[in-house]
Amino acid sequence: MKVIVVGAGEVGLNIARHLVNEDQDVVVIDQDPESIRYISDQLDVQTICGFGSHPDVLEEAGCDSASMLIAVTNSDEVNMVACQIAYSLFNVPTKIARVRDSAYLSIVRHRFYTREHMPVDVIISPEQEVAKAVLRTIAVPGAFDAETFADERMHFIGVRMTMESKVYRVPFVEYPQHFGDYIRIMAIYRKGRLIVPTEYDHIEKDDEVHFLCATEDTQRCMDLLGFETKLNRRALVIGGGNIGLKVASTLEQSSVNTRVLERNAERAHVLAEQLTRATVLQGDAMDRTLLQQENIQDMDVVVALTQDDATNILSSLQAQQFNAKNVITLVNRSSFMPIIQPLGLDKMISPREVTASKILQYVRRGNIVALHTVHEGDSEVLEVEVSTHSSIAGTSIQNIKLPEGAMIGGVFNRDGVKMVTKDLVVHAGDRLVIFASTDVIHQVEGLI
Amino acid sequence: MSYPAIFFILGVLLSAYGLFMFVPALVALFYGDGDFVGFVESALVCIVVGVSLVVLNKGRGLNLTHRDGFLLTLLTWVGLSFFGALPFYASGTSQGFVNALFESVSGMTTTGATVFTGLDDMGHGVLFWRSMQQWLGGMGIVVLAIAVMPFLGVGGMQLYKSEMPGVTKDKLQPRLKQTALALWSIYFTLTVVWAWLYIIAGMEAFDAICHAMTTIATGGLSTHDASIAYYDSPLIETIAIAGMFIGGINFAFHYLVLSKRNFSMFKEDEEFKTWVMFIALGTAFVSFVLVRGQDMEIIEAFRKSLFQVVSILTTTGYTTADYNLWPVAATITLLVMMFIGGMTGSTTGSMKMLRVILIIKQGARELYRLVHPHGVSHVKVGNKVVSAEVLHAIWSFASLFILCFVLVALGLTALGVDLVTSFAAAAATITNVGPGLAEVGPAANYAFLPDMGKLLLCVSMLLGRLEIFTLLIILTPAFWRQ
Repeated sequence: MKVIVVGAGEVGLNIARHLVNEDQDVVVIDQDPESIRYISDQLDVQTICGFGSHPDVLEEAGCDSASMLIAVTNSDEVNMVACQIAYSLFNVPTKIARVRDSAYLSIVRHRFYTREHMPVDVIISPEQEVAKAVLRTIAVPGAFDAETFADERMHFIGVRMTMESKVYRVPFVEYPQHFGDYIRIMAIYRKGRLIVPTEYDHIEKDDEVHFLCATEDTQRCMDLLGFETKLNRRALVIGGGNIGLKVASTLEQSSVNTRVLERNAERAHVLAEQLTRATVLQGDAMDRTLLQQENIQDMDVVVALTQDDATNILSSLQAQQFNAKNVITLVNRSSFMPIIQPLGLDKMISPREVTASKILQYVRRGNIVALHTVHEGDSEVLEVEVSTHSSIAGTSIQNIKLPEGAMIGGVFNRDGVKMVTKDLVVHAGDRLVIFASTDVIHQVEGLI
Repeated sequence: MSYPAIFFILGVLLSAYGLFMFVPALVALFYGDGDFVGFVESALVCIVVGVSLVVLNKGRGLNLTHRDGFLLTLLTWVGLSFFGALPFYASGTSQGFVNALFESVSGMTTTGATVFTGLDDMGHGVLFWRSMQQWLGGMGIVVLAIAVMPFLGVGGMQLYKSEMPGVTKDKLQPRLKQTALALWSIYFTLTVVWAWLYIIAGMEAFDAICHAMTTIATGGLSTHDASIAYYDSPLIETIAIAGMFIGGINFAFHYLVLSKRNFSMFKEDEEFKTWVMFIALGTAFVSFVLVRGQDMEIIEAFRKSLFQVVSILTTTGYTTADYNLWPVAATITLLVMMFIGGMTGSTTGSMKMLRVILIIKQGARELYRLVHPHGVSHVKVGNKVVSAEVLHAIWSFASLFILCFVLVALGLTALGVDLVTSFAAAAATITNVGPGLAEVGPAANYAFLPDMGKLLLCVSMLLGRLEIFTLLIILTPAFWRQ
C-alpha cells in the first residue's frame, strides 16, 4: 500500500517510521530541505521537497496511485487543502488530517467533513489525544501508561514495580486462589527486555508491568500490586497551552482543586477567561517561592505540559524534590526518555507515540477497532473483531496457535467484558484485546 | 564502525561474485578453448573467502551507519576488483598480477582501458568475463545487492548514495529495494534488446552479447583489437551509437517512459537538451575539422565523428577510427569532452552534464553580479532553483576531480611517461573513458606502462567511478576517529 505523508515534523517522521516498519511504501513531502534530508537519511522512504498541498507536488509524489494521505503539517489549513486535493484530483480513498484549532474541531462532523464539503475521513488532533492520554494517566494514580479498550470498559495499565508488593514471585497460575481472578498480566519489561508471560512466570521488583482488567477492577488491581491509592484532590498543571487547557478544564469539572501555571501573561488571561473554577497563576515554573506559596508539596498530581521539553523535565524534577506524589511529564523528543527515566521521572507521555497509535489504527487492514503502542512502538495492544470467516471463530483459547510474543487478554461481546480463561470459546463478532510484540503482529492479524 | 556488518555483507557479495564467475567458466567449457579450470578455481576462491567472511561475522546485526556505507562500498569495489583479477591471472592471459588487476579494475569501473592485445585469438571465457565485469560495474554491484538482498534495509540508503553517481540521488519508487530492482530490470532489459539488435545486424551471438553488455554499461571493452571498426558496418555502428546514447541518459527517464508512458522530460529536461546539443555541436565541429584537415568525404567524416563523439561523451571508449591521427583540433575536442560525460543517473562516468551546466551557470551568475552589484539572482535548472549548498558541493567536486586528474598525470610523468600520454592516460582513466591519446591512444594500449603506473591508474579509475568523495573520505583522519 502506498501512503503519502505530508509534513516531516516529529509526528510525520514518527508515522513514517511506523509505516516503513509495516512494509508500506511511503512518500514524505515537506518544504524544508533540512527535514527532508534528515528523513531520507533515517528511513527508506521516497522524499519530495515541496509545498504539501500543491497539486503538482502531490502528483509528483504519485498521489494517483496512493491509497492513503496523511497530512500532518503545522498548518490546519494546509492539511485540509491537501486532503481536498487528494480527493478531488487524485481520488485517494483514505485521507487523514491533523487539525489542532478547536474552532475547526468544534464543527459538527457530518455537516462539514464530508465528501461534498471537506473530504477528510479521519481527523487527528494530537493535542486532544495527548490531553486524553494525560487524563487517563491521572485517573489511575501510580500508572505511567493507561489506555481504555472495549468502549472504555477495559483498562490497559502500565506500572513500574518500584515498591514492596505481595505479588512478587507468585506465579500467575496461583493468582486466582490467592488474590482472585480479575487481572491479566499481558507483558513484562525486565531490564528493557520484553517477556510475554506464561502462567508460570511471575513479577519481580523493578519490572515494568502491563496488565489488562475490567475498568471497575482497576482500583483493585492497583491495590493488589501494592500501589497506594488516593483520590486526586489537588492538581497542578504547568503550561497552559491547548493540552494544558483541556486537561485543566476536565479536571475542574471533576471537582479537582486545579491550579494552572502559565508563563505568558496574555495566555494566562485567556486561560482565566475560559476556566471557571481553576486557579490561573502567571509565573515561571522554575520559581521555587511561587511553587512553595502554592503548596506544591501537597499536590496529588503535577503535570508538566509546556511545549518545551527542557522546561517540562526540570519542573517535574523540581516537583519531585518537593515530594509531589504523582508527576507526569510531557516529552516530545523520545531520545530524552532513556536519560530522564533514571532520574525517577517515569511517567512520560509522548505526543508522537499517541498520535502514531491513533493513525496506525487506520493504516492496518482488517478489523482493528483500537490500537495502542507500548514501549516506543516495540509492541502493541490491539482490539480486534473476530470475523465470520476467521480460522479461530468457534475455537477455545487454549487451541488457538498464537505466535510467540503474543497473548490474548480479554474478550468483549454482548455479555460484557471478560478476562480470558483457557476454555473460553471465541465466537465471530467478539472483540479480543491482544498484546503482541511488533515482529509478530502480522501473524496475529492473519489469524483473526 | 560496525565491522562485523561490513564484512558480513562483503562476504555475501563476494560469494555471489564467485557464482557469477561460473558463467564465463561455462562459456569457456562450451567453446573448449581452455581457461575453464582457471575460472572454476577463481570462483571457488571467491566463494570460500566470501563464505568464511559470512560465517565469521554472522548474526551480529546489520545496522550500517553513514560511515559504514562509505567503507563498505569502497571495500566492495576494491575487493571485487581484486578477486575479479584472479581469472585473468589464472588463465595466464595477463602475464603478471598487476596486469590482471588493471584489467579487472578497468572492467569493474566501466573504463575499458586494456593491457591485453590479441583479443581476436583470446579465449572466449576471458573475453566474456571482461564484458561481464563491465556489465556488473555499470549499474553498480551495490545497487544490485540492494535489489536482491532482503536484509539491507535502512543501511541500504547509505550504500546507494555512496555508489550511485550523480548530483541528486532521488529514488524512483518509495522503497530503495524497488528502486534498485527497477533500475536493474531496465538495465537488464536494455542489454537483452541490444544483444538481439546486434545479432540482427549480423554479429555472432557471442560478440553480440559481449558488446551489448559493454554498450549499455557504457564500458567500451570489445572482443576485437579493432573494437567496433572490426565490423566496418554502418548498421552496427548505428546500433552502438543508439545503445551508448541510451546508456548515457538518466535511467529515471527510462523508468518514466516504461512505467508511465511519459515522454515529456525529453522535451523539458534542460540537462538532456544541453547534452544532445553538445553531441550535435561536437559532431559538427569534429566533422568540419576532418573535412578541412584530412580531406575526408562529408558522409565519412560525419559517420566517424558522430561515433567518436558519442563514444567519448558517454565515456564508453569504443573506436571506429584512430583519432590519434586526426588534426589536433579534433583530438583536443574529444579530450575536453571526456570531462563532461553523460547525464546524471546514467551508467556513464566523468563529471556529468548537470554538473558542467551548473558550473557554467554559476560562473555566469558571478559575472552578472559584477555588472549588478545589488542584483538578486539564483542559479536555476529547468526553472528550479539550485541551492547554494548543492553548488558548493559541485564546485568542490569539480576542483577535487581536476586536482586528482593533475596529480595522477604528474605521477605518471614522474615514472618517465611522456607528457601527452600521461595527461591523456590520467584523463581517460579518471573519466572512465578508456582509450586516451598518443601512446595510450585507440590503436595502442596500456601494457607498456610500468607496474607502478598501472596501479596509479587503477586508483584513478576507482576515483572516477566512485565520484572522488567515497574514496577520498576514507583517507581523511576524521573518518577513522571513533
